[in-house]
Amino acid sequence: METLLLDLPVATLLAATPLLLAALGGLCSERGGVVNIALEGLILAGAFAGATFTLATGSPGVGLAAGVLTGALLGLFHGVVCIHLRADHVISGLAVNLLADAATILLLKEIWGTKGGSPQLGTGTLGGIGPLPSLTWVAFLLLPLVWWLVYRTRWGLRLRACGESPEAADAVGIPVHRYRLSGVVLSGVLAGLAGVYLAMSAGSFTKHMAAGRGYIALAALVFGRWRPGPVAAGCLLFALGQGLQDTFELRVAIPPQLTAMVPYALTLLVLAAGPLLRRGRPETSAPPAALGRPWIRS
Amino acid sequence: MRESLRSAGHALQVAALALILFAGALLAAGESPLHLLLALLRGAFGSRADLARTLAGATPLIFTGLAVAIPFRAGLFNIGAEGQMILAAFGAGAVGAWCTGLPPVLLLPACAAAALAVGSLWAGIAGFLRGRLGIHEVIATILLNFLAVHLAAYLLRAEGLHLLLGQEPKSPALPDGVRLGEIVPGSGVGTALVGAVLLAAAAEFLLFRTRPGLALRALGGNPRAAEAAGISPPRVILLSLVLGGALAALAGLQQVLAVHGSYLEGFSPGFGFTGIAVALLGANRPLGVVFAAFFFAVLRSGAFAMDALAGVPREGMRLVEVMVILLVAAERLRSRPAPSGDEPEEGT
Repeated sequence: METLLLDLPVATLLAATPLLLAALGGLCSERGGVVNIALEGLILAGAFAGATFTLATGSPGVGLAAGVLTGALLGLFHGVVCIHLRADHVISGLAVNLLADAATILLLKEIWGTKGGSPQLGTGTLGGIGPLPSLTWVAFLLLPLVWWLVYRTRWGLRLRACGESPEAADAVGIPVHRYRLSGVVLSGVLAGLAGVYLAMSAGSFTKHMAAGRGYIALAALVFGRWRPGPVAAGCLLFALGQGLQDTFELRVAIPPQLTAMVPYALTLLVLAAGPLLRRGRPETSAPPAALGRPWIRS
Repeated sequence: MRESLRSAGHALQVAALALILFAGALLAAGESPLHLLLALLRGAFGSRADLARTLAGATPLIFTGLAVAIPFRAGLFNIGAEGQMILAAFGAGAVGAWCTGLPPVLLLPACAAAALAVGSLWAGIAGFLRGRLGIHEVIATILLNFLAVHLAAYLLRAEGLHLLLGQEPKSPALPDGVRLGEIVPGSGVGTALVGAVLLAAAAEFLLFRTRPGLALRALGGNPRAAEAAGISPPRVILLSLVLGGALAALAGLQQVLAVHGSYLEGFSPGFGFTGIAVALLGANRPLGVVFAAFFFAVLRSGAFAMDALAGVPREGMRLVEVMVILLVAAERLRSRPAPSGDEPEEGT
């Protein structure tokens, strides 16, 4: 029981890392007005590219760069489909997720000739500082950075304007499409990083390895009302479910199928608790007003 | 009539364009598209057995396509058809295993009732969360998908339930009397396929000729106007998702009764997700869904042959599904007038 109490915080921080990275990415995308259901697929694609290029070059650094770049490119694709082709953001996001799922399985067969996963990456690809892997530190350093970027820079102000009222943003001369696209591409970078972390911490790429983390990150974004601090709190809360699963599975004789349900059930319960507790009182903050709405200059 | 003709024309364009893009991708990968297309067609229609497999393969897709299309009409994305179907199939398999004492005339309805109850309840959770608490149905249904897979896996192995007898992860085999057969043996035209087509016709009637159908479409068309007209959004949201869940449940039931004869873990190659592509290609019209289901059934069935003959992995066909989804989504908005500023959109 003692080790359980010691291990739980670390397990939670580890589980929070990909969630936080993806959720901060989602924040950049959605604050600009583009719904990002595609986070799941961006994570998966980042994980695959990260693992593949690490294996091919033997350098985790190249793998990391490839994962981030792949996330950015797929994010760009989602952005162009939503912004320029004016597709429904949710449908485009789903398509990106199905695409990433099918393409990674296809490429696994083509490149490694395997069905379920890539060869092992070897140990130590992540590198650690203290008890935590380096990317966990990066994720928590990115939290204030993203806050600063969104609230304290000209880019952030303009991005938020595009998410709240693209008409007003356009009227003062902000290139709405370009700002929205930059937000989505940034979400691809961060979700790709989340994928690289997943693959490297697991030691290989396995199919479906995002396992709903993109959607849980999205839930954290809703839970935190699109504000960095509360969103990070949501990530930690949802990661607690995963942390509990990881620590319990090793020690207590609970069927693994039951513990595997914890992260998803916890996310749903927390999401439901918010509105239930708030009943009758007005919401403290609203989602970006133009979220999901295509903008066409009239 | 004109509207349906136009959407049928669009659907054909989208399907053709997706196939052309896929052929282009194959060409870029150094394969011969013509050779593969022939392999695909031979795989889907080449022999009596191939044709039977294609027809049988359309059955679950009609159900999951409808399960997505009907909530879509109310403005809701039922991404949860996969989980609703899996859990419903488990319910049918479990009841079938527990009530073996019942005569087949009673056991078959009992299995069907279990599947329908489980499927609609599971979708109803999302309906409640969306309608009453405002939690986006995409997030809710997707989380419920993950929960459903793990819950079914847990219950299958739970000791008190006595479902796992052998080494294989499946429930005990159902007696032959409750298996759904084919109407003409060896043709692939099963009772369930006929039922699916009739159900699609019924759904068309429900959507376009009844009051609940009108309420559902009104909510999807303009939520504020619908509410002003006295429609209760939470109730219609719940109704449409419960209907979706029941339809997804039928896909699960068909897999248990007509294909595997028991609940088999991992039986679904993603019928629920293909249902999204089916619904979109079918323009969210029940009869359109039937045609779209056959299109994807041909692709799936032909993909087996492509895999075997030319070594093109089956996942290639899933890329065609993705292209269809993207093309419909992008096209839908191109052919529509520019959305006005006050179009109601909820955040996720």
